[in-house]
Amino acid sequence: MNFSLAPTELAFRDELRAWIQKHIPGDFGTPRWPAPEGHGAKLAAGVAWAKKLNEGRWAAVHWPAAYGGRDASPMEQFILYDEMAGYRTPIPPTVIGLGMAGPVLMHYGTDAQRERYLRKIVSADEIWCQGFSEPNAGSDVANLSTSAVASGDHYLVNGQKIWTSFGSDADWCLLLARTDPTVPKHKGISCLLVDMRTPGVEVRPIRQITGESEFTEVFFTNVVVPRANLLGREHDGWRVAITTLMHERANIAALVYAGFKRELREVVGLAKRLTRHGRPLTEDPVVRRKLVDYYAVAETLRINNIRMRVGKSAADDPGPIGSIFKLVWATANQSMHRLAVDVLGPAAELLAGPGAESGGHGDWLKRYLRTLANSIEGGTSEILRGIVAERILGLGRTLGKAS
Amino acid sequence: MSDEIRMLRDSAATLVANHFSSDSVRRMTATDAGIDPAAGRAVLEQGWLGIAVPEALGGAGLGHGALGAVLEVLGRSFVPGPFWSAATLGVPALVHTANAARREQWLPDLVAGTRRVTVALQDGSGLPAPGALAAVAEPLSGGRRALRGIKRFVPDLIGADGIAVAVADPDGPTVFLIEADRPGVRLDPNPLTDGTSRLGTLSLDDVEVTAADRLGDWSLVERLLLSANVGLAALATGGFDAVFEQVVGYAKERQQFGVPIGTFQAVQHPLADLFGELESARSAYLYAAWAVDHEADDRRRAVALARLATTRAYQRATTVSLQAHGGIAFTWEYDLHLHLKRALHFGWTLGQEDDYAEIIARDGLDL
Repeated sequence: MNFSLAPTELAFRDELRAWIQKHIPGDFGTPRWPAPEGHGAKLAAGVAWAKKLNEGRWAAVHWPAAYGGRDASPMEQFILYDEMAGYRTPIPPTVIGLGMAGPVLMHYGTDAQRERYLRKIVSADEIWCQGFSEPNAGSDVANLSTSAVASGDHYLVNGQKIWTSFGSDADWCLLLARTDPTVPKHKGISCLLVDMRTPGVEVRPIRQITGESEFTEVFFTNVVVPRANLLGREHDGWRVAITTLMHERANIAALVYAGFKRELREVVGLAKRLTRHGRPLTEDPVVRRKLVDYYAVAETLRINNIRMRVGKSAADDPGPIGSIFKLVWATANQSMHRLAVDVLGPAAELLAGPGAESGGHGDWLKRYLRTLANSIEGGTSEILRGIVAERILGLGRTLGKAS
Repeated sequence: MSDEIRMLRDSAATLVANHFSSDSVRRMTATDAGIDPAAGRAVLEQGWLGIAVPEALGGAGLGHGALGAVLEVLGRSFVPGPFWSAATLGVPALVHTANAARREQWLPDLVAGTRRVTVALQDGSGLPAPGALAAVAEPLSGGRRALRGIKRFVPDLIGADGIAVAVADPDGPTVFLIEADRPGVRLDPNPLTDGTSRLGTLSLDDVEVTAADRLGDWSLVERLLLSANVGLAALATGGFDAVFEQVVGYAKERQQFGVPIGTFQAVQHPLADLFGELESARSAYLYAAWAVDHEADDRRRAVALARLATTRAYQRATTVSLQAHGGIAFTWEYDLHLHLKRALHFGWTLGQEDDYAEIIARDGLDL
């Protein structure tokens, strides 16, 4: 197999490196690029970063040039993530729009819808959230019960969504709702584009075990959504949902690699700074060996990404290997962060007093706690294993999945 | 896949089908030689030994990726015999040596498969450090040396015509090439639990060598470790592919409680996790083969990773498979234990896991 970059890919990488040199001062959250406190300020930093990326035309490289992208190949998209993995940067609140809403709008949207929404996603002028999960529709998303009843020129939406990222900040929601309750569950679903400022939309942050709130509950009470905001055909929303998740898969493959590589760099840095019994922690054979194992994960995630992308266009199916990234990553990321808090010991849980400086070691326990959601969010590891077993290995459906 | 690699794969598959059914392998591995002489010759004389040899030296110049394609096929069917050591240790030792006279004397026969060289690196169980070789070259008059000491775990030692041996020389760690019948050389076989592989112990009792026998310094050993471990990764990849395909097939056929056991989540999930591990290991192997062929800057750690990931994946595949099968796979008659023992053997071939983890720790993480 050929791992050499093509001349166009090398040019893409070199242009990107030059841009990074000019625009990334260092890691976000360090004195060279301080991170603000508070939700509003953090959001503003994320939006500013998203806008800066767009100015360089790096915000949506895999999108068509007509919508602000570069028509980049899957390999070039990966190069972007790989290069960016060298730095900690603000989280752009545009990720749902760029990774999910945008691609399905291109796939299923009318010309008017594409005109209306796509450019504002790339420019970070509008933020999107995704309304799929519900309290009774987690792994079994098709069991959703939020209803959209057609009436004249609009739908009337009632119900509740949960685990909605960027719910408090979003201008628009890519919503799955039941438009026909009389047919089997996958068949009566439609996809709607909902203005989050419509009366009857109420967003409540969820406080998570880290104490932070990255997710929200979104309540819809008699929310009026114009029929023009139907995406795709009526009752065909499940297909839209599947397409959304397919697009997410290639994105996630690069995202988890870049995130893991960045985290590994920080955990290695931690091990290099700390001593135990007067010796550097990196000389501890157990720590050393575990770090090698995480290096192996980072490196194979990188090569898996390349294998999945070489010679492929954006429209190609990533193939069987596309299914394993999140599964492999979730386990490894949890284990690596557990190592970080283990080597810190009590310093990892200090909230105040000497040794508990902000952004210091006390941060690591929070980071470890956050990783416990990695095997739940975006498809539980159990569901992902089931997908591999059923669709790739052909082992057949398990009991209880009769539909 | 290029046409050349497809043809290599096909010819290897044909050879395996003709000579190496599991029954034949079991019969061969019960003998001292470990392989039927005619079948052994057939493997060595296919022209495969020259796949990764540069064209200027009489080879095909196709690289380690292409050689790996053949090794994967051999690995699938636990083909016994010295092909791996001949192709990835013996031949490269004579390719990469600066000793042109020895190369001319040996390489054509090695590529043709009519003579065979193995490499003796280890003094104990681990990968030797260049500064701590136990076997030595004692200076004699006139620039001659006397080789003294014991080299252990030498792959396919019995039956080799020549042995490239790494010793501590006053000028630094040095590789000398000696004929197996040179005075003072003794070869002792070490039968193994893994019947498909053969190791031996090499005793050097004042074996006289001259500068003409010198193949190179430690950099030659480093090169051999690259080719040998990419080759080992290819064998392991072929092995875990065969194990995985077999157990997935079994899970679809074997019925308990009135349904195929593969429909149980308790069976599905370990196999799904294994799929992820195997594909990751395959990635490490494919990249390492490319890195060696392209002399990439990161080739040393890429090869260490491939070696580590594929041997571990091969081992995991066999133990997960054993559990998924239940009792049947614990029987001598069932083939899985041939893979299991081979996978374990690979894990400590040319050093242990820790030796390769250490290369990554230094080279990849700067620890």
